[in-house]
Amino acid sequence: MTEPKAVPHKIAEPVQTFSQPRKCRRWTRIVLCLAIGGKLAPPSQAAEDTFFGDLPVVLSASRLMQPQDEAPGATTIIDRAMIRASGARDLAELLRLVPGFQVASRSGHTPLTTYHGLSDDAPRRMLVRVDGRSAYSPYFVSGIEWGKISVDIEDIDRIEVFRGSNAAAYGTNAFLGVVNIVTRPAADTPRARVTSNLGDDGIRDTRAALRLDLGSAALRLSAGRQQDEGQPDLADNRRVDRADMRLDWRNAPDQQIEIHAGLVNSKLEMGTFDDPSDPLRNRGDDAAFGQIRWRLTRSAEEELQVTYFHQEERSRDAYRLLLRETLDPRLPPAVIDAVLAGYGLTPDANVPVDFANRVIRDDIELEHVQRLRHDSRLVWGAGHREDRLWSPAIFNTDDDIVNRTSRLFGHLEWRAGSRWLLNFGATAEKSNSGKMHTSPRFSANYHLTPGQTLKFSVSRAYRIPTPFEARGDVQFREAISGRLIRYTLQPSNGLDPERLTATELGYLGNFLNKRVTVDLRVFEERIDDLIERDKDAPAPAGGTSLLSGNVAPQYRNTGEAQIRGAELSLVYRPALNRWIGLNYANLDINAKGVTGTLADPLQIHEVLATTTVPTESAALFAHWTFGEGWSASVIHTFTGSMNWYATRTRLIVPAYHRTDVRFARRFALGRTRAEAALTLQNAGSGNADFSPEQAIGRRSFLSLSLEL
Amino acid sequence: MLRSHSRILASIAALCTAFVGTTLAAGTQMPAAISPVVVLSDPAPAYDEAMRALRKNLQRLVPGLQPTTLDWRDLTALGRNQAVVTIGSQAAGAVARSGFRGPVLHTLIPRSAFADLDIGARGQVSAIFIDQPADRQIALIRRALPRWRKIALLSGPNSSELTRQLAATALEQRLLPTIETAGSDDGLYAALQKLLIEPAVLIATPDPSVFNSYTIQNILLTAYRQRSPVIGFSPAYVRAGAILAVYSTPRQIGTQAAEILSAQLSGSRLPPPESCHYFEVAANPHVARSLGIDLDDADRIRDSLADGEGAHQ
Repeated sequence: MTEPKAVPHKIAEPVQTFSQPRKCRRWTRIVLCLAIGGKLAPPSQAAEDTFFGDLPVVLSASRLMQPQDEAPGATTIIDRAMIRASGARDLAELLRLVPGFQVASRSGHTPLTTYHGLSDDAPRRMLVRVDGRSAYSPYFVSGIEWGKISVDIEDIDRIEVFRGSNAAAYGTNAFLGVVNIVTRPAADTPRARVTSNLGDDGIRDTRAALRLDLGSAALRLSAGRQQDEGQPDLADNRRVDRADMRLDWRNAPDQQIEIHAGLVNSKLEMGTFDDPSDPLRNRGDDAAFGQIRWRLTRSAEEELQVTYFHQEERSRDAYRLLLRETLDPRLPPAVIDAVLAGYGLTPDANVPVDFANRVIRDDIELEHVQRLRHDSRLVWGAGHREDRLWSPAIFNTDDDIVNRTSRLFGHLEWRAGSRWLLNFGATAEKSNSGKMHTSPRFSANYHLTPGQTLKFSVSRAYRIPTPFEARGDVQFREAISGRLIRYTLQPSNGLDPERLTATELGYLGNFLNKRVTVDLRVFEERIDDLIERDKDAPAPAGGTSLLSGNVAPQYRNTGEAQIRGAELSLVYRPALNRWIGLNYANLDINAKGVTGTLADPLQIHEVLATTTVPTESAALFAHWTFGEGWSASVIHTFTGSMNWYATRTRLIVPAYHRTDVRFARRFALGRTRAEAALTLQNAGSGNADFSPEQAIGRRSFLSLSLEL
Repeated sequence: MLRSHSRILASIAALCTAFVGTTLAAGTQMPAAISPVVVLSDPAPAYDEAMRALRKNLQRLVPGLQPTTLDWRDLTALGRNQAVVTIGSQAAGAVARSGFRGPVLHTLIPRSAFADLDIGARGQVSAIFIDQPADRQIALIRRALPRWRKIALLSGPNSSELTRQLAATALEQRLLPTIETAGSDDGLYAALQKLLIEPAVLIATPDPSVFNSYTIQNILLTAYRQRSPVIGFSPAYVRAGAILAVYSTPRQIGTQAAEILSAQLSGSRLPPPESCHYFEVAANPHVARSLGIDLDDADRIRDSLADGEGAHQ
């Protein structure tokens, strides 16, 4: 959903073809031209019609990016030049450029991202949106499954990151931090593009994109394969195939239809070396979606749009554990048999594990933007979402779990005089499983001078528990006897939503004709009813298991956290392709809630949430171009000590530095624009970012990109 | 005492005015047999507006005078001793082809369409162009976007001369123009990518092979993404997303045509072809704000441009 725009925007998007829409030369064009129905040639004109003819409203309210000094909070924009200069192969890596974010790799194919900590191995308090479509998949543990995003990183126009809570605009999943990924319009894609990466750790990526001009429509098709062998010490090979398309069609002078579709098929290596309880295997994931948006632009200030998308995900991850193999292999077979028999199990006792799952999501939303008076603007809308989740292993039922959520949102922006901009907004949500919750926000921006702005905002947000948190029921049973071997998660009935109250003060200064930007934000975020995993919760009746005894973990509203801190960003950008920037964040979490077990010397003896942020983190990033098409970029980050829901002391990640460097050269091959680049990631020593036992090695790769 | 003096002065002034007015009116109507004829193109709101302004102002300048109107398809009534005004390029083309040799003022015609007319060695032919002069467009940028130095120009098959002229004027004003040619099938995409590597003020030109209702969407969006403001040549451009436009309305062109015609009827020769003296400025504050550009009020910009030109508004 959008807001007025609480975040610099929303989708951009458009439209047409650059070439004159006069011909449908190839058969594909003919077919598509016919399908699109006609009006491909401009009517014949008198010469002066150029002066007096009408034109469609192109830069309408929903397409104009909200200036950063008018956003009701702090925003960071990562544009195309920065994406390219970073050398990033994965979207999640780009969040290293945003102060306040923590980024790590649970494995080579599973990046973890969170804003202001409170993380675990599946952080789920931030939201990622791609062209307005939520990529939040809270169904089975993980919040953002970056690997399932089908968009080619080259097709991204910009990434707008809202630092702070934005549930007032986007609802429950935008509890802390929103990442809006905006792709380029189809017409703004090169006619053909091929990109390839080749390097260490088996990196072999190939991607291609094509643009077709179809008169009043333009179509982009992208497809590619990404593969590597992951981190040196982990079984985390991956092969991800992606296809993505975008069609922008102006079906009438004041209307536009935007169609997106994507497909991701991945084969991910899972398991742990030398751990029979987590055997090496491959997981297969499929994700597909289709989205259609119709937009009616009555004037530059009045717009109506309706968006519908359908999304399906499937995952296959099945294996069988022979229990005797999980016992000490040095024991003689007869002793193993005796141990098993002692538990009433036969020698071939085994546990079938099948994490197969299926998710079907349908979402429809209407949004209307209109100007009320010369100084105020209203955005309002409503949406409905239905999620159907199926995963017998996670929910202990063969039935679909159906989650329906309806939402209503509205934002009023009032320009009170030339210096004040006030913003009132809220989203109300009601799911079939709970009460209605309203997340409101008020913000005031005061322009000290045309280039300097003070911002104040206060907001309340609710995060409705995910189906996994509320209804997860994960039991492992022996196949022959039916005996409960381990009870990993019991249903957490009566879980309340987490409640966030955030207050922030910001300063944004632009100097030297906007070449220098200073962005400072200080904040306090208080979370009540924080949902934590109580590992020592007593098992329900009949839930005593062989390995966990009378314990069955459960989610509870046991926590309370107060996050205080400051984020600073200083950027000097004398030209679009030259910049140097420094980000710094200082974070402190004061929390009550689950602690480690005192009896175990390896456990952390403090509230776990408090260590999920580094006290200090910083990033230095620069990009410079030289004559003859040469460029160099560097991103150096420092992350203080923290942990990702690792309860054991030895799993605290020590403070680390990471340096990525990239050298590139642009050149022309006839009419083809080419770029060759060498990227060196983690150029320093082998650091760990998720657990000290998982050092990430140095990695380098060559890239070649050709554009026609 | 003072009051009675001023009353007397006012009466004398009124008498003088009445006398001069009557004499002038009699003089112009004396009609050295020159009668005004307006040749119309096919009906369109812009032409009607120009025609209404022409009539009204002619009436104001030469009371009682009504021009004859002719449809462009039937010019048989054209004859000697007529001062012809055409409205629109259709009418202009028809008159040019008709062999009429009297004085002709073409109005509401693009500069390029005027250049294409087969005028030959005929007598007095002039025009009021719809196009804005390069000086005025560059002055607009200097006045409204004083911090912007880089000017981006897209040249097409019909606008190479125009873009060269804009570039030359920009250079004179110490701006930094860049021209890219959008020629081939995919030329516009590549040209825009090159032109807008760094933010620049993109000036739209009335070359329909480059700027038309199909291409304008991507031009505006690409420019916007590159943080580059676009200067249009009609209010429709500003509505679509250009930050500013300077343009002359049909009413203003009709008004100037009436002024030229009345001077012509009193014996003056036609002035050389030129752009309309009157013009408007339109601005899009939403786009400006989104691009972080502090824009002055459109009317103030227009007034200060007009002051600079010494034009009468």
